[in-house]
Amino acid sequence: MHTHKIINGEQVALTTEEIAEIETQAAAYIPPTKVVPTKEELFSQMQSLQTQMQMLQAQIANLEK
Amino acid sequence: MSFILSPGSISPPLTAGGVVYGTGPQALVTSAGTAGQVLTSAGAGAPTWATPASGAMTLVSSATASSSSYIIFTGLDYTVYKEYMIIVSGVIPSQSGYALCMQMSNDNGATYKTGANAYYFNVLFLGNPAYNNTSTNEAYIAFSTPGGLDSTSSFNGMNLNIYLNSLTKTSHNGIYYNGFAEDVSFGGAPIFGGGQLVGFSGPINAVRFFINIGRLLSSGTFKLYGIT
Repeated sequence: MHTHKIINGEQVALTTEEIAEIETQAAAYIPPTKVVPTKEELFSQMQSLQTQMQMLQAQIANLEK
Repeated sequence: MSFILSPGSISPPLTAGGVVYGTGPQALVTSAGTAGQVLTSAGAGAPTWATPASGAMTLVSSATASSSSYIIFTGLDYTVYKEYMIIVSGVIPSQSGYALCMQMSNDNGATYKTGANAYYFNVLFLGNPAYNNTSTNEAYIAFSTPGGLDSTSSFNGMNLNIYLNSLTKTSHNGIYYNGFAEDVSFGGAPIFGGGQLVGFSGPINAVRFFINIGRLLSSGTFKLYGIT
């Protein structure tokens, strides 16, 4: 609970306007939400990984020759 | 034991800004000195006002937060001190995940620069992984770690040396800082950064600290030093 501020070392009670300002800030805050990827984005990522895996498998196969 | 000194009992008479000292049998009063001077002891002799050597640091004011909304320093005067340093130690917010913030004033704390586009700052957190954040269009300068400060007393909180110089400019008044901060998810690591006001006329003569989003400063010590 907001009750006071300290000015140059001296504790001073908050005014009702200051308390209202702080409470407004707190109430207006919207926490960031985690972005959930779409099905299409996940499918695209999977295709990209499959391509990378195929390239790595080809490199390994060349080394084993 | 305490007693009240009246003008008639002191020699010479009370002087505005003078300091009362004892000689043993008498109470005397120093002169007022001039702004920025410090009182220097002469042992059992009369103390005198002296101008600090250039580069000397003087403790101007200090404050300890205890579930406080704001820590405020007013009366910053660049005709007295060329620069200021604020040493911040052990800042813990009332809730984990929030940042220590700073705003500036050019009317000695009557109003503070707030709102979007007011501040621009960079922060580098050398944790694992390292974190580099550039923020513009902010309502304050935030001193924080990637996950925000931890509210538990098992952490040491935010520790910073904040350096204020060039605050007499008519725009882009800047600060820079270094310190060590602890975080909910990233642990502890050195932190460096700087920030500035955008389009705000100086000189800056007051600053205030708080935890963002309406949280409280559970604890923390703030010491304002002036440097001549």
